[in-house]
Amino acid sequence: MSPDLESITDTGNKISRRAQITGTANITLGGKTVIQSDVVLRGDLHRLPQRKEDGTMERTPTAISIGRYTVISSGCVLRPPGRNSGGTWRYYGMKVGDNVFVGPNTILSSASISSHVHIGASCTLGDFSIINSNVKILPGTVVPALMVVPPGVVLGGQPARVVGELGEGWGGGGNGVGGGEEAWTEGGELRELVRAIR
Amino acid sequence: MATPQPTASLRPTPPKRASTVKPILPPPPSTIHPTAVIASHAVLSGTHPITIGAHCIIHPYARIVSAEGPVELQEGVVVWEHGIIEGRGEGVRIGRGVIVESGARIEGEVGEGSLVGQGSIIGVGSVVGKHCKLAPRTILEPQTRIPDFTVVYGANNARRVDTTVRDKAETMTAREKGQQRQMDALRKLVPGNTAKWMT
Amino acid sequence: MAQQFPYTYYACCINASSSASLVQKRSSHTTTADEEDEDRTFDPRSPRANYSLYPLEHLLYCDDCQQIRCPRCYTEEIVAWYCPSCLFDVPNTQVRTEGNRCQRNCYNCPICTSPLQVNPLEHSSHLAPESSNGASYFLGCPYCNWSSLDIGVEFAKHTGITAQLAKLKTARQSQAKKEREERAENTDSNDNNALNERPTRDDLFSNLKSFYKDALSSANPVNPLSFDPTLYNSPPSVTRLMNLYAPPSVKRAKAAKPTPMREAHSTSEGLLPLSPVDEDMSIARMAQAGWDSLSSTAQRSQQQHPTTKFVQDLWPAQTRLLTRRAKRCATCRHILTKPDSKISSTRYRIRILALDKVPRLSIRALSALHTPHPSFPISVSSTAATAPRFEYENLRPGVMVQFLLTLHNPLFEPIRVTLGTPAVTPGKLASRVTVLCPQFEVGANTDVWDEALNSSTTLSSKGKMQPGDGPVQAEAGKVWERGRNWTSVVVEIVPGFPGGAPTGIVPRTAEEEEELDEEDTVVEVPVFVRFEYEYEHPDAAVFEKMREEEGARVKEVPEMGRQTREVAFWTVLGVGRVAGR
Repeated sequence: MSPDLESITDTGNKISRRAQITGTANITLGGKTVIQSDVVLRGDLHRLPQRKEDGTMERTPTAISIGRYTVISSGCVLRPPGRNSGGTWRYYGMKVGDNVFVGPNTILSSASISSHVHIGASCTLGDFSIINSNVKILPGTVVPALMVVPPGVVLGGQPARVVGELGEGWGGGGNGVGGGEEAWTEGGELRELVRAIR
Repeated sequence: MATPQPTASLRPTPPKRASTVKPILPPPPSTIHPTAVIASHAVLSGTHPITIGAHCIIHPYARIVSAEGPVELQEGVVVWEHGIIEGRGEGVRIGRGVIVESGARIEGEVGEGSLVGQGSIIGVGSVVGKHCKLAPRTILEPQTRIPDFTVVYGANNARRVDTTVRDKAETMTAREKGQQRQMDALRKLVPGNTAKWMT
Repeated sequence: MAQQFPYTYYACCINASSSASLVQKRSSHTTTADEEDEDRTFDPRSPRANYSLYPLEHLLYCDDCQQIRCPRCYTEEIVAWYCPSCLFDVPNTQVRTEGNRCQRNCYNCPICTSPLQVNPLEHSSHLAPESSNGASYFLGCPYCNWSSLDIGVEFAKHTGITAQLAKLKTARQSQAKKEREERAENTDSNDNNALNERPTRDDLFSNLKSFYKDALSSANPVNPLSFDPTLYNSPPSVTRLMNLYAPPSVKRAKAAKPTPMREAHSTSEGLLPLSPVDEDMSIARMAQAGWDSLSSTAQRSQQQHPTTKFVQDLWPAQTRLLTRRAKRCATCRHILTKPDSKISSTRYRIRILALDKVPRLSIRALSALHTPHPSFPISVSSTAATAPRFEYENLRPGVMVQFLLTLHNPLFEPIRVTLGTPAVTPGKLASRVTVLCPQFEVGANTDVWDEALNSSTTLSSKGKMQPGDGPVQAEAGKVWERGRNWTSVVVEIVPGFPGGAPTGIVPRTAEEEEELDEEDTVVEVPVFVRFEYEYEHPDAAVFEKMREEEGARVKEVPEMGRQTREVAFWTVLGVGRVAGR
């Protein structure tokens, strides 16, 4: 355990001291989630708070929310998606589910990434893309903006297309712990991986 | 040198973060237009001159390096996080309204109104024309020439002419208008710290 | 192959050359069938092996046949159709009438296959004064910037794209027809007739369809290819059906050669005659517009009419539907998996995975205590990042490497495992393999809490040895380490010499080097896994329940209730690659 690299929050999130986080107040982490070094979280790109009917300002909406047991590898960029709406440019929240693995140097601008998604290294997920649960994205894939990825598929290529289906046993097999062997698998529970990362 | 403080921000960033990227070397000789926004975590480094035009936005964790040559950003250029622009030889010029997306690395010239996609690399001495689009993760070898209105896409760097933007004036204006709105929004959201780099 | 070392593949259907042998093998699944397997070492290098090796996650298990099931030995049934883009469940009836394409607003880019988006087109007032409300829409690709404006298509509404596109298409076709007619009038050529009658693609298709329908019913009234159910009501079809079930000798005598059918030979029958004028025109267009104006093969294959030559003529492609499928054992017809028909649900109603039924094998180098998982390319801990990694891609020929083979037991009963490997691996790269402990037990997959509670007593590491710094002394016949439901044993592998030079001292010539395929330097070890376990016979469960109620101890189950079950299969362990030089 090297205390200079990771800081552990009250809810068990492991955040590298070299993570590049802006707008911390607009980011929620579900707990037991890992943010590695050189990860950019653009919490500052949030929807501007609106004035409520009683004249007070509403609370700033969450820009990025990440679930539990999710691992964001080093060099990733998480930037909330934005678009023109009603004559002005607006940013929208980005949601990442539980047990999601994001490989190194991947750039995410998705609207939502569901649980048990495995994203390879050096991928690009365009603005407002929606990744449903149980999806594997091969390394180097470029998901175009606004694409919807159905559950249970393998995605690859530039631009991304469905290149295969996941086996029925996707995410399984990580139940046996021990033997010096890693107890996590693609799409499975990442609890042990999060525990192992220090 | 005094600890740089974010000049204008909607929400004060924690002070410990502001001090983490304090430049150790003296800042490069740079000419920065007062309307440009350079985020407090953006880095300008090198010894050759850096010119940043009006209304440019340099996002946090973007880098502009003039160690091997001067860099010129014309009016309204946006450089996103992890984007790197490196001056080479005679200098690198980024045209008006160019968007350099996250993680892109530019060592060549880019013409007006072009978009350099996420994680793309433009090799040394390359020239990208006006109103081009490099799809994410495009890699241009050094000395590549891309004519105006070209879209480079796919794993094999396929090219096509963007006839929509070239031939339909309304799509071009719509795009420019959208970009303008985005920059207006960004100017409100991204805390600038331009004063730090003024010499 | 891009697979990263180390890996484990499970073999299925290695002897199944035909369904007949399949059935036979399943029915006599005892020692005889297994001995057949054992006689012949499974060769992962054989050309056929590619079709029988799968990662464990992709395999199912049939409880009745007690066999692993792979895509070659299960059948599939479509449970539901859905659009991958709008995630709409398309009813079966609609698929039957309108085909396997999304009928809503989902289109793919004809250039790069990305999903297209409907964008508003803001006409500046001075540019388009004729448009009434000033707003219209177009389909645009967010990836390659293609837009329907490139082919001159604009929409009045942002919904009902399919209907609007169809309307535009027919309008265009009629216009093209008119133009052609005009041209034909002007040019005084012999093709006048052909040009005048030139129908649209859709007309041609319906012509051809009706022609074949007529031909089938008239030439061969009881044609088995015909799907028309009314045919079965006619007397000839009854006789045909009767013939089907008649003894073979009678059938053969009656079976007449099918009369050859005539092919279409005019436009009214759906034939598209070659028109020199059109060909000349497209050649001229090619010469003028150049290579970039031509569509690629991949782009054409997406089109409804795969003869579309020019990029200008490419039409947005409706998104193809995907299916959710249930899987059935091909031998006993039992359902192995059945997904929920709703696309929003990722659950299965039935799912019998090989993962839950056979032990999972995993291999890694003994010296590398923490090998990064190939799918998780990150440094887990700072110590692991600095520790020297075992280079699976760089095995040295002739130098023994110790690997640790771990078996995980997913069953609730303890299993007895016997491992078998050939002494020398098949293929050009003959590596020597020794499993130090080929017979061992793996504990049951009991509750994790049991382990925690009993850790002091049952898990007193029987065969465990502390890994020292130097080369480890693994004792033959003893397991390396044992846990709740896993056991690891040491496997010693001496990688062979590429090119089969056993001396290894004589430098190989360039010629010999060239003979080696890249695949030949991969060390793959076939391992035959046989495991047996005792299980409760279903009848005995009732009996046991009675006993339990009487307060008897569970362990006193009568022998008649316990049965031994034996399962065997081949696996292939990819342990690494021999260094090139």
